[in-house]
Formats: sequence, structure tokens, C-alpha cells
Amino acid sequence: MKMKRYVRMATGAALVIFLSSQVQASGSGSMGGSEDMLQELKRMIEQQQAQLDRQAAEISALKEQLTGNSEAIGTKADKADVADNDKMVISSKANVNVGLYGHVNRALLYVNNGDSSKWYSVDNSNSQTRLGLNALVDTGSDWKIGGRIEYGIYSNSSSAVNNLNTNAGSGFSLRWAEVHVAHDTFGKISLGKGDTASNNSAEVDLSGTSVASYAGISDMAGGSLWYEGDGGILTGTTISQVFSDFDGLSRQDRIRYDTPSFGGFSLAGSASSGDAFDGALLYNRKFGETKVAAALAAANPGDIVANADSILSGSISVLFPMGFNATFSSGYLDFEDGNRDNATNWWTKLGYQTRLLESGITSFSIDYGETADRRQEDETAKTWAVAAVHNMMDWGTEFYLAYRGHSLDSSSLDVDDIHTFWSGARVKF
Amino acid sequence: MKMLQVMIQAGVLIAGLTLSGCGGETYTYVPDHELKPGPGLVTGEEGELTIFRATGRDFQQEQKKE
Repeated sequence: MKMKRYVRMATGAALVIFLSSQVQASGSGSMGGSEDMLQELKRMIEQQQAQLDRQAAEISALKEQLTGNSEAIGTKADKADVADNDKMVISSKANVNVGLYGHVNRALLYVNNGDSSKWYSVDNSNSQTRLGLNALVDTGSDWKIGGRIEYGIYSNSSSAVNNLNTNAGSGFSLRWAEVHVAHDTFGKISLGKGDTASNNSAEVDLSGTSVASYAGISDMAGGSLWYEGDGGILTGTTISQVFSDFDGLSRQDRIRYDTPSFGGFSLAGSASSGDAFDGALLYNRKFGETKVAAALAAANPGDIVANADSILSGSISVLFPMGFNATFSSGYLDFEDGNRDNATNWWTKLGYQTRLLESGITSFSIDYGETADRRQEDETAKTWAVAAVHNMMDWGTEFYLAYRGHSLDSSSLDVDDIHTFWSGARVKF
Repeated sequence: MKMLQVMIQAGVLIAGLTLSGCGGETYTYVPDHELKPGPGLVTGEEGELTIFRATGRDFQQEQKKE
């Protein structure tokens, strides 16, 4: 713009010089002619000045427009920042994480007890539908403080339904309500409702099919009633009364201590309301791509498990790089009645994981197990199963199906086998 | 007799684990029938809906280990 202005001024000046020289060259010419020329010159200068004024006004207007645009852009950016901040709840603490988590796990369950067959729409008790809050605060030192609240949300639990109870009800069950303090060197103390040290000690499993089939046999169709084919009698005995993996003391109101890990080993101990206490040795280690997980626990069940003096339980699972895996679990319950045979359980699973589809890993497994003398002496319950789980990792979703058979050899009952099948999905949100 | 069998099983388990504890690296085992680690359908990579956000990246990673 400036350059244009200078050019016009130079043009005007050159015109003035040229006209002046013409005036001089014309000598004393008529005074009237000079007067006209000067008037013409004045008019031209005024035109030039008017044009310059218009250009100055245009420049000023453009400057104002530019300033307005800059302010608008700045305001928009500020609004975007505010919008982002609105999405977050800001804590007064520096390092805080609070998260809401959960999953839904529903299935269709088929049960045939030798007499009749039934279909149920169930909540999968292998991994109950749940919702929880998890909080952790970093104090700025080596200490961390946290808490966890989790509710199970059940409707028609697979472990509760049977021929006489096709709608097993719905509700909430408190699974976790604890605070914990953790230190990198000194370990972790947890207080409140949550896992006892021995919980999951009989259920270590790296097969990837646990949602469909695992050591806790009774969770699939534990409420189902055995049927005596010869007498045509539906007994009052359920699957869960004769099967157990004796998996420690479950979740209780307790105080628990966990040591840090030493070479993959860690120890845990807990004392629960009801005069119960337990301890566990845990082991988790990776050797290249081979994973090993194991647990061994001993528990004094106090008042938590009726008629039990002590419980021992353990399990080990190995996952090899090619996807093959093997799992073994064993448990033992010593009754208070010294004359009573102790109840025992063993269970084993072989599995294979492969990527059949682009969407994720598919896991297959077969398993077999026996529980002896759980309900009474001279009684052995046997189970076998095949299972498949397709895990769509990126979508937090697993689709599964499994068949499980149950048989019972008992001195007091002559019952038919119970065959069960289910298919469903677990969606982590 | 059954007690002896259990004790033997436990002994074999402990001995095997002790011998294998010399190498490898530690990892955190999460029971598969509990809440599965990894992404969620709507929460994405984090696997949970963050209500309060930690300021330190390292801190978030440590929490995931927990």
C-alpha cells in the first residue's frame, strides 16, 4: 500500500514540474493561460489528495477488521480451553486417580438333569456383573493411599437357578469396600471387605477360558438338582453341595497384608471377622514369553465355613509362547469332626490360544476334575468340560460357549448325569 | 493318606517354584474371572472411566500396575 502511495505522489510531483517547465517555456504567454494552467494543476493535486485520503481510510478499516479477527480467534481458543476443563473434575490433590469400572456378563444356560431340560437367561456367576469405583492418591513420597468400592449386580445368577427356581431373583451384593496403604518397600495393607489372602488360591488360570469354564464348578449351574432316574425322584441335592474347589475364604471383612514381590514370590496374610485367618504364598513370573502363575494357601476358617477345621488350597498355571497352556488345582478341607474323612478336590485343564480371526484371540480348553467326600463320605463328584472363548480385546468384549458334564457316585444316591451348556458375552465397559 | 498326598503336592509345587525363581521377570497376575485387564468397550484403552485425572503420567502407569 505504501509503495502505491509513493508512486502516486511521485507522479503528482513530476506533473507539477512538467507543467511548471511548460509555463516557463511559454515565456510570458498570456496571463490568462497561466491562470488556467495553475487552476488545472490545483485541481489535479486536490484529486490526488482526495485519492490518498480514501486509501488511508481503506487501510484504517482493514486494520480494524484484522484486529477484530484476531480477538475472535483468541476468544474461540479460550472457549475451547474452558470446554476441555469442564469435562474434568479437578481434585485439590496433585496426583489423584478415581475411576469407574465394571462389566456385564450374561448368558443363556441349558441344563438337562436326565429327566427334563430347561433354558435360563442368567448372570454368569463365573464372573458376576459388577460396577466399582477405584481411587488412588500418590502422597508424593513412596506411600500411596487408595480405596475401592465394588458391587455385584445380579439377576438370575447361574449358580442359583434350578428346576424349582427358574427366577432366582435380583439384587446387589457388596464385593469390595476397602481402603489400602501401599509402599514400594514395605508392602501393602488393606482394611475392609475384599479378597482374603487365600481367595483365588485354587483358581489361578492362564487359559483365557475362565469366563466359561474354571475350577469353580458350581458357578455355572450349581443350583441344579440331581435326579434319580430309577425312582423318578428329583432329589434335594444340588451340584454345589457335592463340588468345591475349596478356594480359601473368599471375600470377607478383614485386614490383609501383602509383601512386595521378591523374584516373583510374595506372601499375603489376612485376619477376618469370625475368628478366621489365612496365609498364602503367591508366585507370578515370566520367562521370555512363557508365563507362570501359582498360589498356595492355608486357612483357618473360624466361623466362616461351618464344620471346617482348616482348608488347604493351591493351583498353578503355565502359558507357553505357542498358546498351549496347562492348569492344575487342588484343595483340601479338614472337618472339625475327627472321625469324618476330609474332603478333597483336584481339577486340571489343558488349553490352546490362537488368532483365528483378526478381531482377537480365541482360546479353547478341556478340563476334568473330581471332588470327594464334600457332602458326605463315600461320595465322589466328577466333572468334565470343553470351552471356547473369543476375546475381542480392543472392544472389551468376549463371546463364549462351554459344555460341562457332571456325574455323582454316591452311597446314598443313584442319580443321572447332569449336562449343561451355556453361551454368552462378557462386555467390559 | 489324603493329607500326605496334599502335602506332597504342595512340596512339589514349592520346590518347582523355588527352582524357577532364579530367572525371568515379575508380572502382575489378574484372575481372568475377575475384572479383565485391558480396554473397555466405551472407556477405551484405560479400561475405566476416569473421574479424577492424575497429573503425572508416571503415576497413571503405576496405578495401572496396581
